[in-house]
Amino acid sequence: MSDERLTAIETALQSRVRERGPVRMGILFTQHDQHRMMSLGSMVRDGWLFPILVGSADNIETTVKGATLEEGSYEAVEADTLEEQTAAALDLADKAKLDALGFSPHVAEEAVPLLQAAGGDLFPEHQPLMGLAAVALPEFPRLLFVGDVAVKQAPTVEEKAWIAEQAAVTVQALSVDEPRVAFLAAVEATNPGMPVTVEAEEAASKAQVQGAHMHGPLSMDVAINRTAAEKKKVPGEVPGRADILVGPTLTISRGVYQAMALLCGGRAGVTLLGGKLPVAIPGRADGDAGVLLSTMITAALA
Amino acid sequence: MGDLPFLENPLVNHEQVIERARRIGEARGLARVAVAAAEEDDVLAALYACKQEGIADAVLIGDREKVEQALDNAEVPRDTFELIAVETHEEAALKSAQLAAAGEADVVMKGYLKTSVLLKTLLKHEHGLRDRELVSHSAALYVPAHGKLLNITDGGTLIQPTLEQKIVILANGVRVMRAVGIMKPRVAVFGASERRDDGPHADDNRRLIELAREHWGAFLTIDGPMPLDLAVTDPTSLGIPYAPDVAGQADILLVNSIEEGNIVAKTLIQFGGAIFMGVIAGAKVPISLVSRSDTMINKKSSVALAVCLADFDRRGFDSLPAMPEMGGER
Repeated sequence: MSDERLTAIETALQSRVRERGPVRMGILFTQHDQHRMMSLGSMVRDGWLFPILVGSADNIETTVKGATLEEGSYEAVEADTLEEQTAAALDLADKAKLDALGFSPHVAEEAVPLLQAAGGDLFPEHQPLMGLAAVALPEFPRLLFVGDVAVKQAPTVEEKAWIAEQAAVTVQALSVDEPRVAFLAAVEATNPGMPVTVEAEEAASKAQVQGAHMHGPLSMDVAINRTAAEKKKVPGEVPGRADILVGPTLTISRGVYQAMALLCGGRAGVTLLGGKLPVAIPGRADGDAGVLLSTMITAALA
Repeated sequence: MGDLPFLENPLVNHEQVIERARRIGEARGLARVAVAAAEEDDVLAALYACKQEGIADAVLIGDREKVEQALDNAEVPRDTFELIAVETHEEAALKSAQLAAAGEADVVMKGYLKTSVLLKTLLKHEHGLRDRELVSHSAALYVPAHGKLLNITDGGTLIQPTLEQKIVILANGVRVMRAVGIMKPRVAVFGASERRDDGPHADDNRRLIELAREHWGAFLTIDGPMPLDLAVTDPTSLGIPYAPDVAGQADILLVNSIEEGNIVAKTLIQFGGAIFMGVIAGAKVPISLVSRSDTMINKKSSVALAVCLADFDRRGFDSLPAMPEMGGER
């Protein structure tokens, strides 16, 4: 794990969350993820995280010791099952005592069903949600965002447009004033024989966020590689310069972000958006770096 | 000249694929690549490099004047390759099919003509090149962080394959991997999560996995739906109680749409330093097609993979048995 080697992007993000001051994050975790909770100590000492640990008494005790959390630098709420933990965390959030939520990697995939099943105003069932992955890649000059990586298997045109808008607004909140959104397909020309290209074009024209640029369909290489965009003569603000990649399906968006994180030397953080609070949902394979980046980005959005 | 002993160990990267093609060439003479509509300078440049490096020889088919012009553009000496003059693309495709059918070409390669024109001609029954009902594209990627080859199929030819088509894609993909020494490839059927069965492909994929296990258990292991993290990461490190026969070690990622294959493969190429080797399998001879945007190393490696596949096909290994649902080799 090369956590010491933060990219410039991550360092900028770090300064940002430090400036903001400690974010009160309700953190749900299980026995299985206890070893991954150790990095909480450094986030707390770094001055940007105030964790409210929601777990079993045993787990809390071990985490407090392992992460050397000092008294007064955290709170604890005891609850045994994930359902009870979710209810307890949402209760705190309801009382405006939380700025954000976080799930540990092993249970992050449960976050969406748990939050929606719990009911309540924070994550109402009719409210769409999406997972936005942020990936820092070696030798790539900016953070790349990918969505939706968590919720909807086959989003409709309207849902894709919503995913893009939600992502663009979020990325603007992270100081990218004019985010460029690419709706991915296998090719960059609309072709009735390939329904994904048609939907990408429709979603790109539907999605509207002041200051953001939308373009679809685009192939992956044309979306992010300027040389490819020039060679294939695809004009526009987005080709070669995309910040946000909206995949045609959940399988693809997840595949793209996991490929970047696991096979391209990248580091990824995932945040669940759409509810009243942002929720850190780190990928299970992304390790400590994933917990750090997910927590940091979620804190920056809180 | 005789056959090389077949591979005892899997080839793990493009360099080994190229080396294998070279050794096949040394043992049997250079494989012959018939290029249909050869007036494409980047294809000629790649084939020139292949010939110089002992990977393959070529026979060029096309309009004489245009081919010679393209050779000049690519700075390839005009006498490097045999040239068969024809006038139209259809004739070029036909001639390449005839050479392949007569055993005078080991590989057919696409030049400056539409893929559909080439495939339509090659697969006409009268040439006897149609092996199964369907050809499909295999993108064998060397992914350094995976430490071995990963065949993503089919991200090239079929937009939304049916169950029957997936069975054939699988058979073709397995054959490509066997040709590089992976005799019992591990197949991950791509999905968003191993726990979600709600996708539009869920029923087809369940059936596909059942059928493949029942009929082709000796030739492959298969599991799914499997997200990429599980396909390439040891499941015990993920804390997932999951049989590790495919998880963490996938050789083949069987995808459900052209977008799944294309977008994931391009991600690995753009960001993961992956080397791309593409081949169309399922006809009696491998069909090689490279795109202008491929690097020289991608193009050479793609030709080398086609040479390995042609050699494998010639050896008459046991084939995947036919399934009642179609798709077995004949």
